[in-house]
Amino acid sequence: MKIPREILLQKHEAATPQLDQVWSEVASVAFDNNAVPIARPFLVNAWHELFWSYRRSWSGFAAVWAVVLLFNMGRKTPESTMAAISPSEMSQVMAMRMDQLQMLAELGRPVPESAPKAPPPMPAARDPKASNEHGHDNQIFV
Amino acid sequence: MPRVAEPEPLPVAQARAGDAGAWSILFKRYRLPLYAYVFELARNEQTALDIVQETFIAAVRHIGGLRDDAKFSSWLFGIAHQKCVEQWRRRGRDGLFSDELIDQSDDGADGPVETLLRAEQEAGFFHLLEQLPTPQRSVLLLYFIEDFSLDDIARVTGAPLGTVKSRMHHAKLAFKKLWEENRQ
Repeated sequence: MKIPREILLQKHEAATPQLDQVWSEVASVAFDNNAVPIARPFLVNAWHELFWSYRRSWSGFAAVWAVVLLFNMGRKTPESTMAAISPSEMSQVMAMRMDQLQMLAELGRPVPESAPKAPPPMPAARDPKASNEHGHDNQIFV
Repeated sequence: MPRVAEPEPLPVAQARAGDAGAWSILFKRYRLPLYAYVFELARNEQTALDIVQETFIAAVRHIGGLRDDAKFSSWLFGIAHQKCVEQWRRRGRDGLFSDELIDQSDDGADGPVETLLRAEQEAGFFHLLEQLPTPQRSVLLLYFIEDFSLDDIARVTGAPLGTVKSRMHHAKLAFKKLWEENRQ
C-alpha cells in the first residue's frame, strides 16, 4: 500500500539518470565563470532587469528616434533654404533689406533742437450751461 | 496524509550565497518531484526535462528574489509552473490554465485522495489523473507530491486563494466520482 506521492515518484524514477545529466548542464550554465549573481547592488540589478534584458527593444527605439531626429534636422537646415533662392532673387532680397534698414534709421533719427516747438494744447471745450452761470456772476460784480 | 518530512534542513542560505554544493543537494532533493509535476502536466518526457533544467538555471540566477528561505519549495515549483504555462502559450494552448471555476467552499469530501492505494490500483490512479482538467490536475499534483497547503499552491500557480480552493474542491469531487465509477 502506497500513498499517491510514492506512486508518482516511483513512476518517474527511471528518469533519474537523465535528470543527473540535466544537473551537469545546469551547473555548466549557471556556475560557469562565476555567473551566479550574488546580492547584486540595486542599480546593477535594475540595469539588468530593466535595460539589459530588453536591449533589442531599447536599440530599436533608439534607432527610430535617431531616424526621426535626422529627418527633422534635414527639414530645418537654413543652408538648404538659402540654396533654393536664385542669385537674382537674392539681390532683390538684399535691396529690400537695405531699404528696410534705411527706413529704420530715418525713423530712429533724433529730433533737431532748431525745430519749431509744438503749439500748446488747445483748452478743453467749456460747458455752455457753465458759461451762462459765469456770465451772471460777471454782471453782479459789474 | 502525512507531511513530506525533511531529514535535514535544506541548505537554502548556502545556495543563496552561490555554493554549488548546496545547489547540488537541493537539486537531488527536488529533481524527481519537480520532474513528476512537470511531466504530469506536459505529458512529454523531453519537455519535462527541459523545463526542469530551465527551472534550476532560473532558480540559481534569481534566488536573490526569494524573500523567505522556508518558502524555497513553493518558490521553485512556482518557477516550474510558470515555465509550463510559457510552454503552453508557445503552443497556443493558453486556455488550459485560465479556466475559472465557480468558487465553492471545501466540504471536506476527501475520499480516495487520502486513501492508500493498492498495487493494482496504481494504473487506474494515473488514468484518473489524466482525465482531470489541467488546473485541477495541477493543484492535486502539488498536494500529492509536496503536500503543499492551499496558500502554497496559490503561490505556485499564481492563482487567487479562492480559485485554488475551488479547483481543489472540484478536483477531489471529480477524482472521487471517477474513482467510484472505476470501482463499479
